[in-house]
Amino acid sequence: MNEIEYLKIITPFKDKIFRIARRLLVSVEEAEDATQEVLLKLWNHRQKFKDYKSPEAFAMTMTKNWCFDRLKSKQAQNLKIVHNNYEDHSQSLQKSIEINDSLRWVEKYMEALPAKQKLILQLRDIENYEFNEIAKILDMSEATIRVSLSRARKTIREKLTQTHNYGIKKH
Amino acid sequence: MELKNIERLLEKYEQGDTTLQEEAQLKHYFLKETVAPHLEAFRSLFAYFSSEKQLSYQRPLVVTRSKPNKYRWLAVAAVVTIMFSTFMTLTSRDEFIKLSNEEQFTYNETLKAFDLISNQMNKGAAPLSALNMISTSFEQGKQNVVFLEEFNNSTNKIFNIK
Repeated sequence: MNEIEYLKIITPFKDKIFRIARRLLVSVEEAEDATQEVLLKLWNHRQKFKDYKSPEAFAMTMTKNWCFDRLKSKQAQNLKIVHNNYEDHSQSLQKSIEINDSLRWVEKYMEALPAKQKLILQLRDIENYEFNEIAKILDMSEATIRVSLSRARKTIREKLTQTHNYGIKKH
Repeated sequence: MELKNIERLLEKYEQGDTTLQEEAQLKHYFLKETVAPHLEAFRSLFAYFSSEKQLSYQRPLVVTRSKPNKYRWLAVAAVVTIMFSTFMTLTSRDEFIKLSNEEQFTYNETLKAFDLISNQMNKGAAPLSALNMISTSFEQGKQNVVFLEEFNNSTNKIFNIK
């Protein structure tokens, strides 16, 4: 397999790798490093691509493992990843400011979830994978995935309704 | 879409039982249509999901690390050269023995001739030491000049000349 063929295979899902890495590692730079590392690993494993039914699922599993390893080593070093991604989803005026603000709330709540739930929610609701694909990527049963997905969705919804009703209803 | 339908879907959604199509319907409703006030909270959720999907990896895709490879080949070449040269020096002695008597004789004679030249060169170098002697006496003379200068200083002091 040459470089061009390889690039053709990975281009459709390189952004997914990056997004998953960013979800787990939080900081953009860390996520970019992780993506680069995973892509390089994939390049080194390119001969095995034919053996895998879906290179994409293989890549996702690799990303997940890489990020979890990274998180573990960070915890061991007792380092906290500080993020500073204050990006600008520029739309227009007051409405967009309001939406932006509530989007940031969602981000915060999602960040607070346990890593597994975070990852499952990312794969399902952002990357829109089927349950059997997620099961393959994470090497878990579909039932377990549904359970943690449901938990994650409930937690976020509860927190969001609380924030949304703040000042309107009595607590 | 009917509000009841949406509420039913949301319930399924929270149970983790919706299909991707149903989730797409929900997303469409919350992003494109007027959302019922009591479901406002979900709007930001789906808006967040779709905005997150826009994120993309910005770095250029580089797969081959060409530079380290270049150095690796250089190292291989160096090792090959070293091994080849040691091999040659080790085998050249055996080759000398293999040579015929006449050839060995010529070789030795040549070596002798070189030796002679080298000796003559050394002899020629000996007269050069005379030059060296001149140089040392020159140094001595220079030291004497220092005494003269001192003398000069003291005379200046005596005659109070600046």
